[in-house]
Amino acid sequence: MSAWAPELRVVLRPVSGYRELALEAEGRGEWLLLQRPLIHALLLGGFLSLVTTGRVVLPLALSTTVCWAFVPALQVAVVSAVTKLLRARPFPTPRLVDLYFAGNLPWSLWLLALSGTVVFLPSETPGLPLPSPGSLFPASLLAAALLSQVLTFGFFRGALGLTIPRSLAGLALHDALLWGSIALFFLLSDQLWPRLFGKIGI
Amino acid sequence: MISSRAVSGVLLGLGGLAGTLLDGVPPRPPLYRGGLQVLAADFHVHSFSADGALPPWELVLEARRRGLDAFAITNHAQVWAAKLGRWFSRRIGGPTVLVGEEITSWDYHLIAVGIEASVPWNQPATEAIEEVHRQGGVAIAAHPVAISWPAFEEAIDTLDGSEVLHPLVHVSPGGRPGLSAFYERGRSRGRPFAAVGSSDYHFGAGLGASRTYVFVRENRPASILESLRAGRTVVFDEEGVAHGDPALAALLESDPLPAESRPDRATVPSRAAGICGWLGLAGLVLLRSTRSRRGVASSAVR
Repeated sequence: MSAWAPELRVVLRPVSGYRELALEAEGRGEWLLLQRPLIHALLLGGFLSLVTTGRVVLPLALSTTVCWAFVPALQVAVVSAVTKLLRARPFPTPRLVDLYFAGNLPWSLWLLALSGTVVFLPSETPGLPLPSPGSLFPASLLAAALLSQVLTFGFFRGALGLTIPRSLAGLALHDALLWGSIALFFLLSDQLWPRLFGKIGI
Repeated sequence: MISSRAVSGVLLGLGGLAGTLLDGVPPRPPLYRGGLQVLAADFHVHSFSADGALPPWELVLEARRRGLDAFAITNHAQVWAAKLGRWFSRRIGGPTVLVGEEITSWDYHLIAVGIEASVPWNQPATEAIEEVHRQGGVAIAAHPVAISWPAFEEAIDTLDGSEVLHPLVHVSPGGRPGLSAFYERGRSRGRPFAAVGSSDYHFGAGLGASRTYVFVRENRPASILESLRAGRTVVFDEEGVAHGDPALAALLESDPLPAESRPDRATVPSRAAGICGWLGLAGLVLLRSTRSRRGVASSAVR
């Protein structure tokens, strides 16, 4: 039995990894529903504390964990909505959420890698948020986003057993709801609107 | 058997405890030059609820760590988070928080400091500046590189200052010459024009890394705004060259301020705490819980 988290298996073989994971008994209940989203929220808080101070400062980490918990909460809402819309609910919600979050590893690795650069290369580049991010920052962000797409597809295809077209539809719906909600917030709060539409005067 | 997740949790807890204990900030006595108090300030900071990562109260604590005496929370199109930061700062005794906004239009970005209500972005820069002044605030051109100059063409006569130091100077070839040229244009109009150094902080370690030294009568918002209007500021750029009021710059050059307060991450305890916390987080994410291993084992038996 490997000591590594099942997320790693899913990263290496998204569809078959998810298929195997779905067959494993993982229990039920609130803890299963909360476990991975909570770890992800905690990772966000810990990441922000590390990149800000170079350490995990408990009040800072907890405070940012609470603030940024809306991200995993939104993900839970989105995956519940998408599976309902697709009528693809082979598992109870806690199991479904737990499986879905197993595909969050690209973002988790990205956060760990960025905070790792701060912890292991502590010299600050004056004026910049991270030590010498250069072109690595956008490139790694893009890589994490692309891998995350593959894993979300793997979730629909491998864990939920949907056909390829329905899995692609699920992925599109998932992205539209998740990123659409975030974009909508920035649009409606006038933070993005002027940059996108200000030129044409609307 | 102890689960690997439990070990990770213990590491995270230990790292967190050590990180918290090491988080003390030494007191900073006020600094005076030429009969005025010299404040280290950052007038361009974003918070959570907009596109910044830290909530306003954490910005206040981070500003303390970074040795800032004052800063402005300048989210896009809202001021409520800045007001929350101001309230929190007053409760814990500083640093001084000024309520501000980054007015984000299509063709210009304008920092408004000392306002109480959001200023609409869909108007020419001159009108936005007028509204900032009507509210008693100060208007500073945000990162005015060449592309935004046309929008400030008329407005430059009413601006109170411009950013002459901004993280852009580290990443964009046009950053340094653009900001310097705009500042010199503003200064040549024969009226006070404040040089401002800002971090445009969103996340990470950069709060106050680009800062403005403001010469004030007292560390209060009204006095800081008065000094900005009068152009009583000095900024040292990335090469240590002073910008701003020449007499005040000469004062700081002849009698330099103590080194900027910057948390020292290189000490052994600090690095050990950071590494311990990071390993704990990594373990939580990458290692399997014992419970799920048992689950797999029982499923295999079935």
